[in-house]
This record gives sequence, structure tokens and C-alpha cells, in this order.
Amino acid sequence: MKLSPSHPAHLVIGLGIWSVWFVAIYAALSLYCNYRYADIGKFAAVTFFNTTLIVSAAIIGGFLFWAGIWCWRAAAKIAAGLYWASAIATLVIATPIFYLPPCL
Amino acid sequence: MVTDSSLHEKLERIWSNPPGWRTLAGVNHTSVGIRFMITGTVFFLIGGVLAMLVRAQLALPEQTLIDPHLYNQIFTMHGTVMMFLFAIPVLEGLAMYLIPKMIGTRDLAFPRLGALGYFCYLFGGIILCSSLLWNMAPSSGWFMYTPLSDGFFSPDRGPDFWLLGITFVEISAVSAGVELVVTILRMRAPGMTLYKMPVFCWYILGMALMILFGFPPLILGSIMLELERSAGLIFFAVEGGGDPLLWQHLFWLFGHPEVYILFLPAAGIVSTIIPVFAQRPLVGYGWIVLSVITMGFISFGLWVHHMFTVGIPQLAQAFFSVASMLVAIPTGIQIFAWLATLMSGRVVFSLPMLWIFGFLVIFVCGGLTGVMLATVPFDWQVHDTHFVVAHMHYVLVGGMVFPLIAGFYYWLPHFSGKMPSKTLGAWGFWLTFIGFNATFLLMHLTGLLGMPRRVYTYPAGVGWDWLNLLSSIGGFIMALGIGIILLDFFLHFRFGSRAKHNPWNADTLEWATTTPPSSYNFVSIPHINDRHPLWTKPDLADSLAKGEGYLARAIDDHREILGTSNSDAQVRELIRIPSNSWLPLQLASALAIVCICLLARWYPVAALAAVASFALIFRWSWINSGHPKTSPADLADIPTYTRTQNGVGVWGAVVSLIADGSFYLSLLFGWFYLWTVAPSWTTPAEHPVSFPLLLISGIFLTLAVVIYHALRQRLHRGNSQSFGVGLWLVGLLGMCHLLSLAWAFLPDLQPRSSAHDSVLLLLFSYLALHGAIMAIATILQAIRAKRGYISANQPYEVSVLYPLWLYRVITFWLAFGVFAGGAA
Repeated sequence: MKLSPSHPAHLVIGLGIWSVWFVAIYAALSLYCNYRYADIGKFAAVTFFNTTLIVSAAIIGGFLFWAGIWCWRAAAKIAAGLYWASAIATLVIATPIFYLPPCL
Repeated sequence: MVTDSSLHEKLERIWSNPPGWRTLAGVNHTSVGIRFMITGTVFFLIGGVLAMLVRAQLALPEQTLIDPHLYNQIFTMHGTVMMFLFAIPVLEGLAMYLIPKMIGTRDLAFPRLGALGYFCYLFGGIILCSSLLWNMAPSSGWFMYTPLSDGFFSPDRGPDFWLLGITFVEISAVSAGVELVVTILRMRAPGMTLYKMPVFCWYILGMALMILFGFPPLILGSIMLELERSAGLIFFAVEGGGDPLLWQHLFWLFGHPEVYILFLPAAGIVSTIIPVFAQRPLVGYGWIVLSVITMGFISFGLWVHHMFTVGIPQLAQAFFSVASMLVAIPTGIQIFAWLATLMSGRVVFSLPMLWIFGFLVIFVCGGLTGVMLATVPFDWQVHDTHFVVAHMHYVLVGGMVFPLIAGFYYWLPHFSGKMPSKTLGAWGFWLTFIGFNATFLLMHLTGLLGMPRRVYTYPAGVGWDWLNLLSSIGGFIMALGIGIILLDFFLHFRFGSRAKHNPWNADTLEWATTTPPSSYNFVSIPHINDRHPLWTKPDLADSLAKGEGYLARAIDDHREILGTSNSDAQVRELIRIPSNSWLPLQLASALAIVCICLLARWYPVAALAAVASFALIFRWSWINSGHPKTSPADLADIPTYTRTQNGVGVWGAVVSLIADGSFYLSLLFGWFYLWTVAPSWTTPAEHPVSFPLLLISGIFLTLAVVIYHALRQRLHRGNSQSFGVGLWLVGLLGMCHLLSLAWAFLPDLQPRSSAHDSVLLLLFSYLALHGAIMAIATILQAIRAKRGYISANQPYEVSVLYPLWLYRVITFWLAFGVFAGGAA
């Protein structure tokens, strides 16, 4: 079943995806730092873990941005705006991953 | 307005409350909404008196007016009463009163649920506040942090009053959430598509959904802490494998969205009032809808900013810091939309606008200090100081109380049909505004100078004396302002001038009712073509009163309303909602007895009252849909809801599952949190749950759901052969599932010796309770099928129970996976 761009579900799907991603990166970070004692206290931000988080943000953010364009083209402007808001929230929240080490 | 008087009389007889003391059986949304608001105001006054006691104690250094223990009780109860017994219930009451009128219908989707919610709120509030009289009030702060609130550090009954009372009150919030969501999505007037809805409805929809997601974590936390305190289970005590930080997570998963649960309806009031007094449509309706939805989601991503000092990685703090700043953007969008509306309109400066002015000033300041606090290093500096108290009051009083009073003055002519006094109203506003800022603006400085919160006194000469004195004077000025508003309220019934119809020239449908409104709101239901029905059709009220809309009829004692589709508001079905009933009061009374007996530790009586509560719940479910008392007379071209498969009951079931699912996910979160983070968590060498039995239990359950699904499909195809027998079989399988579940779990669990087994017991209780309810509900359906309440012609009820069975099987197998993971 394919949802048409004007379906009201699009008002919540984007931010729903953002919420799941947000909780997932927080949980992943907490678990990682709980078990990766070797990384605790290290100052390097460029780690495999951080890179993984950034890639996840890029994929999710990119998808949400595309979904926004798809809705916009179908004149579902509020849904498009909400997808873009979700994309922006994803990318902005990912910003600290570039400069903060995971377990400091 | 010209009305069809004979129709009016018949509708009034059908929809009004019984006279005298029997009015307690009334379920009408107008009455229930007003009851919520009046009771909330009484609790506000109690909370206000407690605040004045705090300010009196802090006015001078080294005072001994109040001893430390009593002071702890007072500030705890001030916060608790204001947050749980005033703010949420009053806004819910306002929403329950207004929403059906704004969307052009006659009542809420589940009126008995609204009445139950009110009585739970009333009884829970009384139980909680009675603790002050017994000198047993909670004293651990309104957030009830562990270990301060556990049995070791708080051996008194204070936390028990809080945990049981608040959980009782939260039944009310969740029930209001369910019925507001379903009402807004499925009962709007024909033609009122989602984007033609008054903007207030978007805010209330957001608030209601947030309640459904946000309250269950606290309900779970409260149950856990009460079980730890009274039954010796372990969830937060480190030595048994628990973790006190789990409480903080569960509390703030509720607590931060709570701020937005309060702000959204208040902002909805602002978005409603400003266009009316600017006499032009709201600028940026679409932007505001976008902001409301965005705030609703992002506000759930902020909870850890209350925990910046507990020791989490800097990167995690940064996530929550950024999210906390992000949420300011949708807030800012709304503020600019309001300013643009004011700038581009011809503003009428009236009493409600004074409060809107006060709101804009105070809330913007509160929002700015919020962004300051979102900055981690600043938060560390001012954590637990009066700066945070000042910020919180700027946000909550500025962002909720000021708009609420604006709304109070705006809708007062609607409630009473009379106008308030401009002079008294202006005095009330200025005294409150000046008093508030004197109290809390200065409190920012007190906090920056290092004064910690929750201290009952402070030494002289450290620079806090004059600030505290002025804050206290400001507090009493504010109290005087509130007193004048109350005086205005009481006097206006006697001296207020008669309000003309739609006195503010508003655009929304609630002003198309009589003022004060009749019990049924509208003689006939309108067809809506745009977002401003009273501006585009000024004679709409008269035309509806003449019966020129839908459903202008009165049959026997049938309370009839229209169900419409969720997005485009096409007429879908004719609904007959239940009439006045004692069941809500009876059920709330039984639950109150459970609550009191748990407090007094009279467990056998509590168990009896719990059984009585379940009996009343099933009795409630019995008088529903296909039952002769609630089955509507057919309308020529609109199907009755019992003949449909997607009526409001199905929506009610699904929306309730949001809250249930949130509770369950919180429970799984608690399990994973303790498992991975708790320092002393241990998994027993031999797992206490029997997996073969658990598997058998799951097979019974899955079989039950498969058969129920097949029965439902056949019934919808018009085949009701052996339907009753099939339902008996499903009920029987449900019972077998329950018994094998108990056998799998109970023999070897030792919940008083480890957090591991405590969580398992809680998971088992959750699954078992749901299993028992589903089995009994299905057996009741089998009996109803025999009586003809369910048939191929009336398949509705099967569709209501179906999502609950699906949920049941999903949660079971998820739990199975968790147990398996825990055992591995």
C-alpha cells in the first residue's frame, strides 16, 4: 500500500523517523561507552563510532529531505515542511559528532 | 437567536443532566469540562496558598516561621498541586468544554470516560491533598527523586500519597487524551477538513497525543517505586541491581514533554484570541500547524537536559543541548506569526488582550532563559539554584497561566452569558503582572548569586536578603491580583452586563451556540466550507438553531451525533453515545477505595475493591454499541455505527493502545537500562522462567488471535455461522494462555532479592493483566453474540476488540524475545 502525499500520516512520519533515530543514537552511544572502556577519556572525535553516527545522520537526513521534495511536488506543503524540519533536526543534532569524542 | 422551540425542548430533555444530586450521573461534556475547571481552580488556590507560605518563610534570612520538614512538604506539594492538579486538568477541562463546540458536534466521543476521568481526578486530588492535613505530605520534591523518596530515606507515607494519588489522577489525563484525539479526528462537522479545523484543535490534538505518549512512563515509574516501597521489589536500589537514575529517566520522559503539554493548549488560546482581536485571519496557519507538530515531537527529545549533571558523556549532552535549542525555533515561528497577525490587523484592545500582552513579554523572557539553560556549562553553573526556579515560573506562568486567564476572560461570556468588569479585570492584570515580575525576575539574580533551591532558610549578609524580601513582596502583590480576578468572576454573575451574542465577533463555531450553551450545543450540525464559519456566514447560528443543518431531530432518549472521516470530514456514520450513567462515579469510587487501601496497606480490601473495579469496567463495556440502550435508530442515507467496522470505538481502542504501548516500551526500556547500566545487575545462573511453558503459552495466544481474525473476516463477509462457539473457543484459548503464562513465571521468581526478577514479575503482571482482560472480554462477546448484540448485521464490536488482540500477540512475542535475550 502506497500512501499518497496528501495522506495525513505524512504529518508525523518524518518526525517519527527522527525520533527513532534520535533515541537510537543516544542508546547506541550509551551502550558503546558502557562497554568500550578503551575509548573512555580519549579526545579524538574522528572514530569509527562517530563516523557511523554521521553516516546514519546523512542517510536519514537525506531520505527525509527527499521525502519533503516528493510531498512538495504533490502540493502537500505542510507535510513537505515537516519532512524538511525533520531533516534539519537530524543534521543539526549530528553536528556535535564532528567535534566531540564519543565517551569523554 | 431564533430556535425551533419544540425541537429544542426535546433535545434539552435528551442531553441535559438529571436534576438535583443525581446530576453527579451527568456525562455531558459541558458539565464535565466546567467541573474540571472549577476543581482545578480550587487546587490552584491551595497551591497558591502553599506558595505564599514558601515566600513568607524566605522573605527574611534565618526565619523560623516554618520548620524544615514542613517546608519540604510545602514546596513539594506546591509543585505537585500546580503541575498535576491545576495546570493539566484545567486545560483538559477547557478542551473538553470547547472542542465539541468548535468542531460543530454535540459531545465528546466517550462521554462516560470524561466523567470517569473527572471523578478520578477529584478523588486523587483529595487523597493527595489530605496528606497535608495528616502531616504526612510528600517532602521529596515534586519530581520524587530516588533514593530520597525510597523506603530508607522516606519511611513515612508521604511518597506513597504522591505515587498513588498521582497515578490515580493520571487515569484522568490519559482518558481525556483518548477522547480528545478521537473526537477531533472522527467527529468534526461535515466539510471541516483537517486544514479547515480551528487552529485551537491542532494544539489540543498535539497536547492529547503527547499525553498519551508522555504520561505512561511516569505511571510506570510510580508503580515501580510504590512496589519497591511497599512490596520490597527492587528497581531503583543499587544493592539489588536497580539504579536510581532509571527513575530520573522515566520521570523526565514524562516531565519535559509535560511543559509542552501545558504550553500547547495555552498557545492554542493565544492563536485563537489574537486573530479575533486583530479582526483578521491568523497569519501563517500552515506554519503554526507545522510548528505544533514539530514541537510535539522534538519536546520528547529534551528529557536528558534535566540530567546534565548526573554524569553522561559530553556527546550525549550535546545531542540534548542542541535539541533543546532546536525546539525554540517552532516556538519562535509561532511568536512571529502572532506578531504579524497583530501588526497586520486592526487590534481591539480589550481585557483578554492585556493578558496576551503579558504572555508575550513573560514567555519570550522565559524562552530565552530556556535557551541559556540548554547550554551545558551554564546549566552546570546554575543547576539547582533559584535561577532555574525563576526560569520555570516564567515559562509555566507566562506560557500557561497568562494565556489561560486571557482565555478565561475571552470565553467568560460563553460560560455565563455575562461580561466581566473592565476595571476589576485591568487591576487584576496589572497587579498580577507587576507582582509576578517582582517575584521571579529578581529570583534570576538570587539564583545567579548562588542561592540553592529547596532550602528553607539562608544566612544573612550573603547578598540574598533584599532580593528575597522583594520577591516575597512581589508574590503577595501577585496573590492580590489573582484575588481581584476571582472577585471579578464572582461579581460578574450578579453585576455583569448581559453579553450580546458573539460579543467579540469571533470566527469559530463555539460562538454559534447559545450563551450559556445548551446541553446539546447545536439544534442541527453545520456543514463547514472554510476556516472562519462565523465571519463568512454571520447568520450561521440562526440557521443552525432553526434546524437547517444535519441531524435536526430528537428520537426518544437517543443522544445522536455524526461520525466523519478523519481527513476530509465526509459523513461516515450515525453514532449514538451513552447517556447519563452512574458507572463513572461507581468505578472512580471503587478505584479510590483501592488507592486508599493501598495507602493504608489493607491489601485484602484493596484486592476486593480491585475486583469490584473490574466488574464495573465489564458492566460498562456491556452497555455499549449493540446493546439496546445505545443502538441508534437508522437514518435513511447514513449507516449506524454498529453496522460499520471503523467507528469511533475502533479509534478509541487504537488510540488507547498508544498509551498502553508507551507504557510497555517504557517497561522494556527499564529492563534494558538496568540490564546494561545498573552497576549491580545480575542475571541468575538458572533462568527463573520456563521457556517451554512460555512457548506453549505463546502458541495458545497465537491460536486465539488467528481464530479471532478468521471469525472477524467471516462475520464481515456476512457469515455468522458458529460465531458464538468460535468466540468461546478464543476465550478458552486465552484462559489456557494465561494459566500457562503463570505456570511459566511464578514458581521460581524471587522478586525481592533481585531487580532482574522484579522486572520479570512486572512484565508478567502486564502480560497477565492484558491476557485476562482479553479472555474475559471475548467471552462477554460470545454472550452478547447469543443475545443478538453482535451479528453479521452488527459486526462493530469485533472490530473494536481486534486491534487489542493484535497488540496482545505482538507484546507477548516481544516479551518472549526480551526474556530470551535476558537469559542468553
